[in-house]
Amino acid sequence: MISIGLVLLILFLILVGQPLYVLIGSISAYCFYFIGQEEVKNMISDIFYAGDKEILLAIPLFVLAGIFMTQGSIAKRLIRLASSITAPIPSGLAIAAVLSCSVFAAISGSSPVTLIAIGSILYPALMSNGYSKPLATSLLSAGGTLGIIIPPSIPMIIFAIMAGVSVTDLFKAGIGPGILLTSLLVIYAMVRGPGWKSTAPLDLPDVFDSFKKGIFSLLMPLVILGGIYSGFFTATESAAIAVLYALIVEVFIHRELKLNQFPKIFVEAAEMLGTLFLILVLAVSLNKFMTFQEIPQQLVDWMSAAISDKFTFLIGVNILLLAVGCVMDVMSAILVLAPILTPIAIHFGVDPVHFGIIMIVNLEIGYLTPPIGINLFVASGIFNEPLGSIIKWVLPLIVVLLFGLFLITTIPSISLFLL
Amino acid sequence: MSFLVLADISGRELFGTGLAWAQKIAVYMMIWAGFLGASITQGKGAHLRPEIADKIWPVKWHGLFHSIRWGVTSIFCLFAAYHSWLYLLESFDLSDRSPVVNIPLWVVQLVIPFTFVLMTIQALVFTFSSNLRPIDKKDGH
Repeated sequence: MISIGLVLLILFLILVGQPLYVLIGSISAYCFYFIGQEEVKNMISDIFYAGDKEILLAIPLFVLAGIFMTQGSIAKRLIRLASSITAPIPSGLAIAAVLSCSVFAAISGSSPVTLIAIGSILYPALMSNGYSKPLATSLLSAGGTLGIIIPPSIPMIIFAIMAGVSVTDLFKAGIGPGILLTSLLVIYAMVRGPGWKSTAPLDLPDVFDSFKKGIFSLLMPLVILGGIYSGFFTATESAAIAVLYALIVEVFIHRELKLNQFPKIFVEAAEMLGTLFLILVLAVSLNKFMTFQEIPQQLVDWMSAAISDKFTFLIGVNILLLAVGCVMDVMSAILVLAPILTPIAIHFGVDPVHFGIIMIVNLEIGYLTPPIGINLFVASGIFNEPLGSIIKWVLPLIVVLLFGLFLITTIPSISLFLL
Repeated sequence: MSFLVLADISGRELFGTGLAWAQKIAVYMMIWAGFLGASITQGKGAHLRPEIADKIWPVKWHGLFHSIRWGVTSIFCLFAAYHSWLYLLESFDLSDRSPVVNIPLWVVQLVIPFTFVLMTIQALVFTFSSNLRPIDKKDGH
């Protein structure tokens, strides 16, 4: 009876279009009261202590650093640097598009922001240099998705909190897959681009000048990740360093950030934090309740009876996550599925860090799959092309990313070689 | 928040001892910013939301749908505000204090009922006034 009530509650809340925090909060309150026979104020206590964690500080700080760094002309600087270096390479501008996307995405941490910032500058340039519309559109749309796999990545921090794994380990594990997926997109660009027709001689003074102007933007991921990888800083401390670095670069070096922009930036950061924070603490509280009731353990027992081996589990989980990526956004999917699936993955002998990477790559592909692939809508808007055409054009890139996912799933050392 | 964490790092690296209270205060500031940010997010219609219902409800009924939607949200927020208030009173009565910075915990916890009250008022306003409703960032409604 209680289970039927829970299902009816969930269906009702979905039917009346409730936000995720109401959904998770109501489920949590229902479970506390009816299943756990506890007072609802205990759930509020769990919410408070879920938020009272130092690792969570990394989220607003990385968000703030990303906003600081993306206020000015960083996209132009990165594009100029990448274009000048790749000019003599066949299909160099398309390669520059992929590289600019991956570096910018690592800094901004947002896939749609990357697509808008890089796409709005490089799309006209690609068009005027003889690249086809499908190639330019699909490469920029797919390049933008790299942000969540290349650390620092907010989805990785959320996964680490929900699955109880180390953020530092996840950041280390993201490097290999990030390089692999970037390389696959570069190879695709070289194969499908106009080739030697598009090359230009290397202009060394231009390379040096663009390097001088873009070096501080380029160094940001290195400063952050260097501190984490060397063990000198925790993820939270690196996020604080990132804010300081972004402030110094944008205020004193690039001189593109003015004091009167700060209030707007802080409100934007609070809004982004607000989107995540409430659902995160509610989900952690629900997760704690489920663990107390041994629900993940029961799921593990049930799955072990239904699935015989690790290989079958990995195939099944990839299909499930790809399907989920089509209908749910990245954050919601991680909040809901990470605590349920990670114990099952561990049971089948999958390293939890490796599993986190598999999950994030699957959901990254979801940025390009209808019906709610955000990058499809953004691309349709900024490139002024029908949604149907964009979906058709990105299909080959989805196949490329699926090939990358296959390699990442079957060869754990791509993710775990730095651990 | 950032400068408090940096102060902790500087203390550790320069003087051999970190400022344990600094990160804790930063965490408490984040809790305030996170909850108040949730209210700003609601005001802008930017909370993550499954959008299946938007497609199920006929377009001519969307006015009614969004009134019901905000109405149900306001009920949840009121429910959460009430239980947060009970939790706050208990924390006040038990004189719970932060173990690291030795301040009464209710000072930090106060943001929870405060935010849910704010969000209740917001949702109630949006229930009854379609003109004041935010444009939903995700679905355009």
